[in-house]
Amino acid sequence: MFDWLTIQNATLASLIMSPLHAAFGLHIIRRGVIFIDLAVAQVAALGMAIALARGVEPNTDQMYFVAVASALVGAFVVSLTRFKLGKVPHEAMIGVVFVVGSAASIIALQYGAHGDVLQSLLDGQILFVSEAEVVRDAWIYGVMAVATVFLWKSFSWRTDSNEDKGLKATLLDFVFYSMIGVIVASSVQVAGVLVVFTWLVMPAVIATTWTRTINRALFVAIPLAWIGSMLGLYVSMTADDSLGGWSPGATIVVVFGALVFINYIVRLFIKTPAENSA
Amino acid sequence: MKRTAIFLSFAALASCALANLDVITTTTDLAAIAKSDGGANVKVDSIVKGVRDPHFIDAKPGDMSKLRGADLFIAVGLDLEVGYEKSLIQGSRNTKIAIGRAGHLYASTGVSVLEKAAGTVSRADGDVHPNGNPHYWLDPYNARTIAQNMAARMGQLDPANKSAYQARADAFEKSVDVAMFGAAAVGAIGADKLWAWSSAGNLASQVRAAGQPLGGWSAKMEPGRGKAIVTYHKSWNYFAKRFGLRVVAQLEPKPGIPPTPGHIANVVRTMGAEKVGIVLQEPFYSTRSGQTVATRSNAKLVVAPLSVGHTSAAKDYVSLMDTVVGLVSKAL
Repeated sequence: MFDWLTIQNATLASLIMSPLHAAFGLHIIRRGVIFIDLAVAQVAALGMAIALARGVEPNTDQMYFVAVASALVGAFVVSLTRFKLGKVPHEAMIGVVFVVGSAASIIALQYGAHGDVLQSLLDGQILFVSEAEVVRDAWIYGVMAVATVFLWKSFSWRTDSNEDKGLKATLLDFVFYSMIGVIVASSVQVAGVLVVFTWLVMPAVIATTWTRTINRALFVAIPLAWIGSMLGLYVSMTADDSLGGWSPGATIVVVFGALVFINYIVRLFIKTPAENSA
Repeated sequence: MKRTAIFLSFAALASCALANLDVITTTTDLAAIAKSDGGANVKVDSIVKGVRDPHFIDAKPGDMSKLRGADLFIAVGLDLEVGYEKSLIQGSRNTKIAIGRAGHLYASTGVSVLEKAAGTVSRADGDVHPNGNPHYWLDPYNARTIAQNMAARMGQLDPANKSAYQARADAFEKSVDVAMFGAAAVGAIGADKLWAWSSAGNLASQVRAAGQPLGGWSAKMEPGRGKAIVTYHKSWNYFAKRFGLRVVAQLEPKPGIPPTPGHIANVVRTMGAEKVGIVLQEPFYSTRSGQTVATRSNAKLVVAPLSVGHTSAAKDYVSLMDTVVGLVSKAL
């Protein structure tokens, strides 16, 4: 059974949020820091868990500020750990931040009133985004999108010169991770950790298998982010009426996953024009 | 310094020795009633603390050691604690509180249970309790039953103070009766008759016919009688039945399963058809779904405490019900 009003806000939120995730995802994949968003999101969640324990109400502006501030701390920690120590890869430190963030949140939530918050950060609450939140996110993502347009060339330079350890590179890294922090702090409260990871990585994966430059990949990844989200929400609403549909966040993830696998199979058999001429 | 410490630990031992029974309950509501029954003769603590879903606990080492020394373990029963009760009892290595022994009590004994499942129930139906809905403590009549069950068992375990436990349980009953119907009606008509009328659904007219004023929770809830409400989980069904409210839908598609889009669309349609004015929900679930549904249906979202300690005002059983009745009656 389809009912537009029920998924109207979820649709708007997906349309606003997913493209910027996909754009940053292209850089993340090329840099090989796939789980960065999970780590940053988890530090944001830890901050929210501590705030809850201290009596800050969920779904308020105050809590939103806490989430963004903690995500920035997470971004700072992650950009610090990029300096390679011996043979330890950056991904290992990102994993450490993620797991410690999760575990510390469990302990912090023992002091708080709302034990379900950790669960809802995983599943998300995309079905229940309010109009006010959609408007707020439209502003934030609009500003971030403009900033991204201006910084895109610098980010691309940084992505292609991964071994550069100069001041400019370090500064750009911090800006890059901070922007991911702000983007993820907003979306993780609405869509949950799983969907945020999906938006960031899955459209970018598909786009990167077909295109050579990051700029071309952008034009594939953004429409894909939209199509996958819409398809996911539609399936979530119309699947199995006896259950009232499937959980929206989880369905978006599974639909994107199916797209990635189908694309993988297709890509094995079809070559791009560049490969054909080679 | 050392001497003070030794003195303090002796003092602590002495105060332990004063209490004859060490009682551990699962929920805070049971703990509140056990305290009221036991007075200075018992030491009471609960496993579930704070604003938590009583269906789940994250067991901590301290829970096991609490249970190790317990004389009496009291659970809500009807499978509310099915997810953790057995492992807690086994983990405590305390044979006195094993299920079926005198040190183990289901407070539900003798409660008339709603929604007992007919036939077989599978996990596919969600977090269903096959022995019936376990959220019975929000019907004040059942709180009386709980108090009597506890007093009887405490008296069995500590015969020397049997009459004291019984006297306190009777006093608790009395305080619930007065809070429910008002002192005037209880004094003139008697509690048994009032409860019978309340269960039959004609309390207000009978009390009026008897020429007495109706007070307390019953009077506050009377204007809402017959109105339809929507709840998040089936936690409020006993409360609704006692006060004549109709629960027409839950936000959960099945017990324990979070809201899904198709189900939410159905709930909104039902709310329009039934003219539902309030969405009533427990404080430990996210309020986003309730807020969304309430906004779309021009209804009010009421987040009410389900247990003692969920709000600072809900200090014991009577003040818990005061809070719930106050919030619901104001919104209806």
